[in-house]
Amino acid sequence: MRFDPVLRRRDFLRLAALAAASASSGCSLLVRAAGRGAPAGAGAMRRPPRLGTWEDLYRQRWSWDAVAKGSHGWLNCRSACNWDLYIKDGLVVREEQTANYEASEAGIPDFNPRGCQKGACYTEVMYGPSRLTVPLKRVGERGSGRWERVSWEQALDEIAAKLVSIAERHGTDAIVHDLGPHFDQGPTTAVRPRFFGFLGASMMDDWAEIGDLNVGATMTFGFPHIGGSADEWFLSDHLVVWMMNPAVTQIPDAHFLFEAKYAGAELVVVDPTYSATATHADLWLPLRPGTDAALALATARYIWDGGFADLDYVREQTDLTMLVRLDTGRFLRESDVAAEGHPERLYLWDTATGRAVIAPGCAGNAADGKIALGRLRPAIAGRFSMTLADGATVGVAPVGALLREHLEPWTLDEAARVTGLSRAQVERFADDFARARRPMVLSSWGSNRYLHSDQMNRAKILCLALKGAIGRRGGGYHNTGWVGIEGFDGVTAAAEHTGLRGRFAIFDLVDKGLLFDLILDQTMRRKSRAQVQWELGRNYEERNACMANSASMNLAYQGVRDDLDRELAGLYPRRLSEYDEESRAHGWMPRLPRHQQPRAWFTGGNNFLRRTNLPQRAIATMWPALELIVDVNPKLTFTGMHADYLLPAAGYYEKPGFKYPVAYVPYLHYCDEAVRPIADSKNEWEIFSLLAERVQAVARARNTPILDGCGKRPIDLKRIAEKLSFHGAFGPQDAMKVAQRILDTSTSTAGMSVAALKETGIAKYTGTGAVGGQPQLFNEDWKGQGVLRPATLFTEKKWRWPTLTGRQQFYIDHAWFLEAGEALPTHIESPKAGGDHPFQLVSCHARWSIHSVWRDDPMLLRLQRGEPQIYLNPGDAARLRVADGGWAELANDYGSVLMRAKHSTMVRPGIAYYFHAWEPHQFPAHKSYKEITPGLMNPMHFAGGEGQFVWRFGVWAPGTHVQDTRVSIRRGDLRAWLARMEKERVRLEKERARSTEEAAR
Amino acid sequence: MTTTDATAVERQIAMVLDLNKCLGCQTCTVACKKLWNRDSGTGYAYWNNVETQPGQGYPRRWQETGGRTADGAVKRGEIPALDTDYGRAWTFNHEEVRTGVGGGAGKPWLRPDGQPQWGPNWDEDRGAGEHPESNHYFYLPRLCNHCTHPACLDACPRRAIYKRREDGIVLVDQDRCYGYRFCVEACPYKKVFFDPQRNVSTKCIFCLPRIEEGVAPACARQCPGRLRFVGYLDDPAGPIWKLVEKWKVALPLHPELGLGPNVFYVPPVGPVAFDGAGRLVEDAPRIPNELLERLFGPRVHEALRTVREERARRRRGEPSELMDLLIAYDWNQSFRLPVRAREVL
Amino acid sequence: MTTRRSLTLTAAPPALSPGGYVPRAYADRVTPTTARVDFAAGEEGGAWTVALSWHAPRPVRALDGDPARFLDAAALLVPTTEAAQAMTMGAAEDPVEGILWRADGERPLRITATGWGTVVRQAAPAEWAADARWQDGFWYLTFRVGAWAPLARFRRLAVAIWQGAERERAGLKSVTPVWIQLP
Repeated sequence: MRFDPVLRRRDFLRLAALAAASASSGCSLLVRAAGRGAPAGAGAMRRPPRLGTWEDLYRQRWSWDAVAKGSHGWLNCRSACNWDLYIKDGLVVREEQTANYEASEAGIPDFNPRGCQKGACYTEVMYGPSRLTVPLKRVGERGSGRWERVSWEQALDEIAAKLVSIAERHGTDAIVHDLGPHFDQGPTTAVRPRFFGFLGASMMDDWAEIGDLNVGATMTFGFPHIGGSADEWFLSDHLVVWMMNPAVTQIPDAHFLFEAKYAGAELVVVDPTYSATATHADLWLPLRPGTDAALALATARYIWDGGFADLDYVREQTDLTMLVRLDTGRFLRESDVAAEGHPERLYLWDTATGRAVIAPGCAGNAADGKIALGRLRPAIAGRFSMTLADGATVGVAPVGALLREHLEPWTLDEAARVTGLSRAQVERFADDFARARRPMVLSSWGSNRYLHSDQMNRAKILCLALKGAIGRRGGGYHNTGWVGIEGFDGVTAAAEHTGLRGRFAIFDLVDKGLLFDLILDQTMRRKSRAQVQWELGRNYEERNACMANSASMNLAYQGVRDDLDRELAGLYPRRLSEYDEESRAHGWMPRLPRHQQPRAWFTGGNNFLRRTNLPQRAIATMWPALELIVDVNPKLTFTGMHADYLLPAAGYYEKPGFKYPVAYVPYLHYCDEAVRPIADSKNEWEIFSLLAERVQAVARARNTPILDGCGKRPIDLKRIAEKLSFHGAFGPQDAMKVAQRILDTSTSTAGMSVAALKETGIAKYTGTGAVGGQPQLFNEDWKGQGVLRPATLFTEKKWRWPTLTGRQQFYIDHAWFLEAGEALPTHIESPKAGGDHPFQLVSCHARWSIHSVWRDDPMLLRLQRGEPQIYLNPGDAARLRVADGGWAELANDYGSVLMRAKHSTMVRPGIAYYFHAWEPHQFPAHKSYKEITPGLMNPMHFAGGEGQFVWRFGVWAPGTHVQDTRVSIRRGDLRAWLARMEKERVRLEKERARSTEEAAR
Repeated sequence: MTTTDATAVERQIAMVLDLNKCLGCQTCTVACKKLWNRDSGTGYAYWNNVETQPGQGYPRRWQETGGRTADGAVKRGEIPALDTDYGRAWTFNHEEVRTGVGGGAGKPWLRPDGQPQWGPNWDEDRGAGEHPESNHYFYLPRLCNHCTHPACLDACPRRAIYKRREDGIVLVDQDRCYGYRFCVEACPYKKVFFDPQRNVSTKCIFCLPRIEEGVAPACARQCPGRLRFVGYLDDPAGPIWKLVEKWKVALPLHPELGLGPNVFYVPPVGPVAFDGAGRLVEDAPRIPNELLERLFGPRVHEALRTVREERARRRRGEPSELMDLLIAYDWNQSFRLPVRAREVL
Repeated sequence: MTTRRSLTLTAAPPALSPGGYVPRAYADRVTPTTARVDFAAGEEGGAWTVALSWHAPRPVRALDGDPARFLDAAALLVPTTEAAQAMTMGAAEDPVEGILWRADGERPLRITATGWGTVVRQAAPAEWAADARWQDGFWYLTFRVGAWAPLARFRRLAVAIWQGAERERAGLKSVTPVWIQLP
């Protein structure tokens, strides 16, 4: 049937006029909230209009065949956003936010619409010039760019054969799985630790190595991740953005800050850079880089001396009450006082009775898992004396007394002198903070990138603790909390059976005695459920997982040991490598592979050669020793360019998954398989299921013996596919089924189904769960209602914090800390890494990419300047005669790189500022700023043996710190520089050839 | 059809952008680009852009090259140059880099073809002033203002530009347009773009297919900063009327040009400035008043005062309708659009 | 029979352009960019050939994707009624029509108009052609239009030249102010 377009047009206008009239008369039946999701409903087709007028050309563009729900699951993005994926002719043509979140509570803004410019164009990456779509095998030298297309069968057969032979010759732990920071919580991530776990490979924890782990928080809280839903920001009356840039790195959540301002909060930004967030502040504090601890210490003193501290909170929730021996600097322990005493039973001084009392809730106080003081009135000032078991009398003092003494030099003037701020600025900051009712500090993962970031974060937390803000609604320390999806862990873990048999596997995987004790503790209410989970999870990891922190591996094998020893010379009593060795000798910090260089390298959610510091060392040392390098990735990265096999993984919209569960937005985000994997790409569940089958077949053919893995569990490669598939319950095509299993076995996703999520994309979590056996939010009451707040388990339920003292701990009596003078939070100058050069090289996470994803996307590059940029203050640039848009040469003791200069008044003079994650192949000679960034490691972070100082995945580990890097800058001359680099390259090549020859002789 | 007819409307659709909430993230830019400007001739064109102010903007020097004098009289405008004013859509050598990795230091690296000279976000975060006492910048998202007296409409000798009666959206009839580009020249906001492939001029259509179904334009609906409000100027129940007419905190860009823009901005309140000794200077704003007045006219002072006063009121614990509006508690209420009918095949 | 002439062109008055912008913004355009055109017109067997040649020091033959570039162009106009005027591009009751050549090498277009701002471009009849060559600073353009009824009837022609380098387009053009009357 044909319509007369003229008539139709007239009807259309009449209807439009009617609607307009009803709207203007206030009779707004037809007016609707115009932000609501896809107008045609999810999944529904929107037909193109017939072509009547030219306007219909545009109406036609806004049409589609189907809509699926998606998110950017396999992405290390600290947010999560629900997207409608518009499908036309089998392609995802664009994405738009679904925006179907609700407000957590009345009187709080809702989360809508979330999203950012990158999420709004993932389709550009998905179909972009770096997309991998077919398996490739290297045919030239590594990095030569010469590849041949191979079949999946050939690729997997060859890889399996090499894996088995490497495992037999070098041990399975010589195979390194560098998962990296891009991962989701769905089947396609879960299969990787599952595969590599059954393979006995070494799995690298990169959290600290990439500079994201808040070890200052671990020192203080016993865990590094704390923070609730982003809408809690709105409840604060005093927001301090302190080493974070949410307008750039937390785009979907940043609005809560500015809305809080409208609701009456003061917004303060502490940052040497006039960041995009700082432009929105009431007060911007442009301090000298690396001096944040000084500002915090003066603020703490101001709070204390001004009588602004919440002393009841301080007595109950912090270690300021704990007694310290004045002769040794160690906490007073029961083992000091009584011969049979427990070494982790610590004391406070009860002023009511005038004697030392074992602190409720301290680590050794097994009878009492709570920290509530009851009738105790502990001192936080004064000095007392104690008689020890040997009869000697020693002076003791509560931490509070030592702390106040320690803070004495930190006057406002002293802080002004150190930070380069004026006294007026420091005073305004301290006074506003002190008078706030609900101060909140936002401190992101980027707050951990100075060698002494731990001190800065300890000091920031101290200010909040004195105010009683942590755990209080609308106050506290936000550095990213995590909801846990236990079902994900269930799939990653070593259990090989489903059903009851799988559940009982726990008895084989953890220490049975511990399990019994913990169950008893929980039953007797001596320990919180969270504490039990925490300890059980740790035990599981210790006994089963072949995991280690990657910084330790780098230190051992990457060829940076001498560099870092030199960098840290004189800063600590001993050399870094000595701390590392001592740590290993005690078994504090695991290192994998145990015996030798890595021989095989698997990566995927990662870009090691882009990310690591001094990559030139890795390429010279670690890379040549590798017999196999495989990148399973949807995208060609710099690391992939230097690999042996590239296996094309499905992209974010081509496989089922769950976005990793940051607490900022307390909803599970489902990623649908909106379209089939492009070309020959496959989802990782399928890839690793197939690879397991090949490995199993090879091992059976060769009758590979049982191997010892990493020394924890026997590894039987002849059964790897059986185990991986849960004995056939989940085949290579069953990723979607695994997704449902994850939902079914998680406390935080009760009642959720993949089928329902396909319609909505999101569902509110039903609990806070646990990640990797680690509860993260310590709020067991939250069941999906209201603002999600962390740490209420301690502040409201009064359970102990997982620290030695059972409290927020500001005093660390570990021998190393005492020796280094770091027992209390302090300010330590940022060392000059890379040599004594005039500019400090300071980085921020990028607005324009999530790590290197999107970094080379033309659409977004056009919204920048197309090339890596170094931001300079215009005054500095003029002095150096470095033109805006011209080349700048950055050099220090490690080498030299070229970047395009960008003049910006946001940059403090003396700083060279960059947004990170440019691929090395975006720089001339493929040399990125990483070649001049040594990435310092802090020896204190190798400590172990007591309290919270126990290595654990994503909790406590040494990392690398890039912000201390210094460089010289001059105008770059591309041609001369390239010639110099070529000469240098030839020289190095000859040197290498000579040394190889000599070695051969 | 006379000129009067061409600009008379029954209702006028409008947008308010609260610059105090803009992140400079350019999600709006990308949302618009993905939806409407992916043709080969529109690579350089951004119906929606976000620029850092103070700055030369996009296209470069747009504030100097339009077809109006400061008192609203017609003057000859300029058509921005592709490379130095808009910035061409650079292409990149991915293939060359992927396959040519081997060899010496001179191996190809990924970069734009040619030497970029300008782009839609070229002066991102550049700003002005001295760090740290007076440096300043803010983000200014820009789109077609769908003016009450559009300079583009006035400039088109073919009358290919019209203002829709039902909503006041200004459109370039893609069938009538012969690509003369007087509109590109004349628009003082430089928000008409020429597509050299199709030889027609194009501009923001205020997402008309979406508007017709009561869905806000992509730039507004996709804005994670939640700074855009969309509705009709005469709807007293909607946020537009309240912010523009009642509270008078939302102002048009360059009102002195006399075109009657229907896109309005809540001006930015920057952080407190310091003097040379680092003392806080509470009454001297970090963003110079002259800059804001140049952009938004003399009423900007009153608007800023109102925002400050209402915030102070809220800080004292008193209610403020204005603050509630700008907080946008229920995001869906940021948009009030009637649903219209639509024809389908 | 061929008519050869050297024509003197004038700048089309911008004041005639519809809308408020062009008449004001271009009020100063009083001197023609193309002052002279060598003109030759002939009819052979009912088919018309018109040759034009003019000085064009900076020819623009392609837009090259550049929104600020304008193509060189030329057009012939003929009346379709006795009263139709060239300078006004005809009128409602007195249309004009013509042929438009643009320097991008595409086929010429047939144009009709009933006043300024009303031009309608259409595909030209298959037998219409425009051959152009630029040499030593001059365009040499030959229109071949077959049998063209209004030209045959009124034997009047007008010429318009646009120099892209001077951003000429639409009413910004050099024109013969009155019809060229062919013998």
